[in-house]
Amino acid sequence: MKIRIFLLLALIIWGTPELATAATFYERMRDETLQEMLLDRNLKPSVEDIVAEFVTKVVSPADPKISAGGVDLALQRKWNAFCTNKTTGEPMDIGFCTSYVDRIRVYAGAEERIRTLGRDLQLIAASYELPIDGYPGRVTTLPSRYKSLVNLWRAGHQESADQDGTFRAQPLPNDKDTLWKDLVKKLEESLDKLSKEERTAAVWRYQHGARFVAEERKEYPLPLKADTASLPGTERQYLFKRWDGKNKTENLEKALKELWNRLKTDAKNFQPPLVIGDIVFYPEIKLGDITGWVFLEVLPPISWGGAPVISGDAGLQWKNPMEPVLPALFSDKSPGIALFGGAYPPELRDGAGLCTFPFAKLGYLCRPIEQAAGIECDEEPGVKKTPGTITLTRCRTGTERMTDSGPNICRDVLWQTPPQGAEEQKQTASCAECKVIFECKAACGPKDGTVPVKDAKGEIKICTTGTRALPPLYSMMHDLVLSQRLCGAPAGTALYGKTDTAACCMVEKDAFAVACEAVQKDGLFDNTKTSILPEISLQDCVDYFANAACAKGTNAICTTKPVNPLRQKQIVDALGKAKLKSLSCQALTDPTKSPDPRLQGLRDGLKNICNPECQTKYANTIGNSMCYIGQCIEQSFEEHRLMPGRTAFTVQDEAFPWDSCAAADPAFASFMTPPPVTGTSFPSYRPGWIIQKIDTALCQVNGLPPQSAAILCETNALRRLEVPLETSLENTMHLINQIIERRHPAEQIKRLAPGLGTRVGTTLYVNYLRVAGRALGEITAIAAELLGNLTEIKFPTELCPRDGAGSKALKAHQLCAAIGATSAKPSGTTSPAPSP
Amino acid sequence: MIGSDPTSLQKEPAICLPVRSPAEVGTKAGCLFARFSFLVRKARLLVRNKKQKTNKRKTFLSARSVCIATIPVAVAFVTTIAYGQPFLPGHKAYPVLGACESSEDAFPPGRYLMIKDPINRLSQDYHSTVSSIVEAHLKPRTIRCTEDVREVPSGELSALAAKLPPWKDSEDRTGLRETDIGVVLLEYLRVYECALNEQRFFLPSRVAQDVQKDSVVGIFDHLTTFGDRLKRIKQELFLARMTLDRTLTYLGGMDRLRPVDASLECLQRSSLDIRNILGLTADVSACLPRAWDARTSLRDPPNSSSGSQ
Repeated sequence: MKIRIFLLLALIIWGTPELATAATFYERMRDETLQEMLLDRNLKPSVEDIVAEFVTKVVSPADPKISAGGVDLALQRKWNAFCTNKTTGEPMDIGFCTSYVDRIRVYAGAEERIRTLGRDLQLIAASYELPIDGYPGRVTTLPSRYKSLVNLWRAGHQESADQDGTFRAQPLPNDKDTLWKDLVKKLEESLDKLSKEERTAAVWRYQHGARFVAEERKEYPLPLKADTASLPGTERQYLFKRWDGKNKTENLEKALKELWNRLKTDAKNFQPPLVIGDIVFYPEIKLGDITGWVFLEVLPPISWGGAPVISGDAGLQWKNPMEPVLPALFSDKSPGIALFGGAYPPELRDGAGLCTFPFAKLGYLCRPIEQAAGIECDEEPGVKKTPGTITLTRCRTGTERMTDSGPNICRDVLWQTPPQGAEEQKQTASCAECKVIFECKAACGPKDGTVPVKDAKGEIKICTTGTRALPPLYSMMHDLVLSQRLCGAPAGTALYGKTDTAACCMVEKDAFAVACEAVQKDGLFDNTKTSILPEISLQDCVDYFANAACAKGTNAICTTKPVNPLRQKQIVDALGKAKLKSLSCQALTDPTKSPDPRLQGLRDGLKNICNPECQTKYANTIGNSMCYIGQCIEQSFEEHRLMPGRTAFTVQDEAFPWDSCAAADPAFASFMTPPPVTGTSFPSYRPGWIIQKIDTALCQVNGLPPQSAAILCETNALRRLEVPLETSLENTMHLINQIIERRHPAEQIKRLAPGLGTRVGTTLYVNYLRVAGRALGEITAIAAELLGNLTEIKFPTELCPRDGAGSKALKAHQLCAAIGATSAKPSGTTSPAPSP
Repeated sequence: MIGSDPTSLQKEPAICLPVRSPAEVGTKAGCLFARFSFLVRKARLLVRNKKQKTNKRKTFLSARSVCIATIPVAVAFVTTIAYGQPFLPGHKAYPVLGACESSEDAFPPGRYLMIKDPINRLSQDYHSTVSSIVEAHLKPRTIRCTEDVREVPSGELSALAAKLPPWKDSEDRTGLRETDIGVVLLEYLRVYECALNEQRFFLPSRVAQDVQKDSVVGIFDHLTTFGDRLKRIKQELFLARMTLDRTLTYLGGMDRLRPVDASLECLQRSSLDIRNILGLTADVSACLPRAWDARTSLRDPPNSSSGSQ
C-alpha cells in the first residue's frame, strides 16, 4: 500500500515538474516573453500585478473605478464581468465599455512594453559584462583566471614592485560555524521581507558593497548623492534608496557588514600573514538567485609606524542579472500614489563605485592604459577620430619596464620570502658574501665613502645624506645595485678606475636605471610636461645622473649630447618636491621593517643563493623558481667557468681534448625573439554611427536612398490617394493593407538591430583581443617551444675523464668514444678508471 | 591470392557483430568475407599439411569461394532495394536536414502521457528539454585540453543532439562542443515548429478524431477544441522562438569570451605542471656551480687509488 502511495506521489511530481523545482533560467525567460504577450503562466491574458495596479490609477478620473482584477478582465475581454459598474452595479454603455477596455489594453500594453525593453537591454548588457565582472560564482571568470595565471607565473614575494597586491582565495567558514550560518540566514530573511521591486533595487544598490554605500571606504571617492529627480517619491527613488534600518526599512547594510566583520576576524590567523596590498577573496554566498560576496583588502597604515588597515567590503550581485531597476510606478513616500515619470534613466555620472571592486579597478575604465616610453600615447592608435566617438579609455606614456639582466637576475624583485624569526635571520646574514651598512649623516665628508668599497671584514659602508639629489629611498637603491657588483669580489676591489670614465658610465647608468625606474613608477615625473619639453622620461633621468656621477667638468661624458639645462632643473625640482614627502634615511635602514619591497629585493640580491649551506625560501611560483635557477647559472658563470688555467690559449681553442667530441649545440632559443611590448588600446564606442547604420538599413528595406530623418524612408501612407485605384473599395482596402506594409519593415529592423549590435560588440572584442592577446599568445608559444626543447636534451650519465687519462678510460666513456679510439696507443698502457 | 601467405593465419578476424543499422551492413559484409577467407585459408593449410588434395575437395573449395565472393554483391543489391540507393562508405542513409514534419525521435509520444492535449504535450516536452539543457550549460563545464580545448557537451545536450538529424550519426557528434548549444537548440526549435505546423495542417482531422473519442456533444466541442488548439499553436510559434531568441542573446553574449576562458584554463593547468617541473629544476640547480663545468677544480678530489687523477 505504502509503495502504491509513494508511486502515485512520484507520478504526480513527475507529471508536474514545476511543483518540484524553482523557476529555471529558461523558465524566467519564458515568463518574460509571456508578460510581453500579456499572458500569465496559464496562458490567460494578464499583466504583472504592479502594472495592473498602476493602470487602475492612470485611467481618467471620470472613468468608472476598476480594480487590478478588472484590468485582467479587460485584457481577457470578459465583457459581462467587466462592463458592470462596480460602484453602482449597473451595466455600462456597451459603446463606452468597448472603448474603455481598449484604453486599458493600450495602457497596460504600453507599460509592459517599456518594462520588456528595459529587461531586454539589461539582458544584453549583463551578458557581456558577466564574464568580465569578476564576481564569485560566475561560469566564466576571466579576471580571476588572469590573476590566477599571474600568481602562477609571477616572480616576486608580492605581485609586482608596484604593490598592486596579491589576490588570495580563502574558503568561507564551514557549517559548524553557527555564527556564520546565523548571519547568512539573517541576511536571507531580510531580503525575503522586501517586495519584488525593492529586492531588485536593493541588490543593484549594494552591488559595489554596503561599506561603500555607507561611506566607510574612505580610500575611494564617496558615493554619489541623490539629485532632486531621484529623491523618494520620484520614479528614480530606488536608485539611491538605502536599506539601513532607518524609516522602517530592512537593515541590509548591517547584515552585510556583519558578514564582512566576521571574516575580518579570521584575517590575523592567515598564513602567510597578510601584507599591504593583499586582497582576500571568498567564494559566493548562495542566497537563491542572488549572490553575496565579501573581500578583504589590506591598506597601508594611516600614519608611519602604525598597523596596516584591513578594509574591503560585502555586497550583493545577481546570479543572472535579468531584472534591472525599472522606473518606480508607485511612490515610496506616499503609498498608493502613482508616479507618471518621464525622467528615467538618469544621466550617467562618475563616482558610481565601479572602481571600488578589486578586479574592476584594474580595468580600462578605472585606470589609464600604460604605453611604453617612445610609443605614441593614443587611445586608439591608427584610427582617425570621427565626430560622435566616445573614447572609453585614457592613456599614459613613458612607462618603462626593464627586464634586462644585470649583475643579478631578478635584482629588483622581492622574490625571496623574508626570513622569519631570529634563527632564520642569523642564518641568512651568514650566507651573505658581504654586508652593506648605510650610515645616515647630515652631510658626507671627503672621507665618507659614497662609492661602495668592500673592506676586509666583508662590510660595505655607504654614507647616505639627505642632501643628495635623489631622495634616500632611490639613492639607497642605486647604492645597493653598485654593492651587488662588489659583493662577491675580493676586498678592496674598485668599482671602476678613477680615470676610466667609460667603465664609470657603464656601471652608473646601470645603477641609476634601477633608481630612476622606481622614481618614474612612483609617479614623481608625472605632470612635468611643459609647452617646450615633454614629460621627463626614464632616459632623461639616467643620463642626467650618470653624467653627474662620472663627469669631471664636462656635462655629456656618458651621453652623446648634454642634457637640456631646463630638463636638469625640472628633474632636480621634481625630486626636491618628492624628498619632502619621502621616508628618512633612518626609517629606511631600520632592519626590522621593510618599508619598500624593492629595497628588500635588492638586499636579497647580496645573498649567496646557490651555496648548499644556505637556505632560500620563496613562494612556489614559476617566476621565483626561474629567478633561483637564473641566479645559480649566473653564479656558475661568474665563479667557475673562468677559472685561471682553464682558459683556452687562443679564441676557439679547445680547453680540453674532448671538447670537439661533445654533442652539437642544439642551439635552443637561438632564433627566438621575445614579442615587442605593444600598447593595448580599446576600440572607441560609436553609438551615433550605429544609429546611422540602422537608419540606412531602414531606408534600404523600403528601397529608398538614406534620408535624414530616417522616418522619411517609411512608406508614404498618402501615396495611394495621389494615384487612386478604380473603385473606392479598392482604395480603402489598399489603405488598410498599408498598415502591414509599414509594419513589415519595422519588424525587419527590429530583428536586424540585435544582430547588428552583436556584430558591433564582437568587433570591439576582436579589435581589443587582437592586440592584447597577441603578445600573450606569442609568449606562450615561445614558452611551449622552449619547454618542448628541454625535453629533448640528453644528459650524459658519466663525466668525461680528466686530461691525462689513458685510452682505456677514454674508450670506456660513451661521450668520448671517438677521441678514445683515435688516441688509443698500441703499447696498451692503461690508467685506472676515473672515479665517478 | 587468397591464402597464399600461411603466416597470416595467426591473425584470426574478430567475430562479426550483428547489424544494428543500415550503415553497418557493409561492415558486416566485409567482416563475414574476412572470416570466410580465414576459414578457407585454414582449410587449405590443413589440406596441404595432410596431403589430402582430392579432386572432389578442390571442386568443393572452388564452389565455396565463388559463393563467398558473391556475398558483397548480394548485400549491395539488398541495400539498394531496401533504401533506394546503393550503399557507399561514408554516405548517410538519411538527409542531414530532416523534412519539416513531426519527429517521434525528438518528441517521443510516450513522454508526458498524463497530458492529453497534443499541443500542450509538445509544448511541455519542448520547454522542459530546453530548460534542462540551458541549466546544464550554466553549470561548471568540463574542458578537454588535449582535444583542441574542447568543451565536453553536457549529457542533456548530447542526448538532444542524438535525436536531431544533423547529429544523429554518432560520427557527427564526435566534434560536438558545449558551445554548439545555440546551433542544437535552433535546430530543435525548427523541429518543434515543424511539429506544430504539422499539427496545424492536420488540425481538423485530428480534432475530429479526438473529439469523437472523448465527447458525444459533437460540433460545438469540435469547434471549441479546434479554436483552442489553433490559438495555442499560434501562441507557441511566437513564444518558443521569442523565448529562445532571448535565451540565446544572453548565452551568446556570455559565451563570447568562453573559448578564451577555456584556453586560459588549459594554460592554467599546464602552468601548474610547468611550476612543478621548474620547482624540481630549481632544486637541482643548487648544485649547478659544481655540475656546470665538472672539469674544473671543483671536481671531486681523487682518492688514493686513482693516481694522478
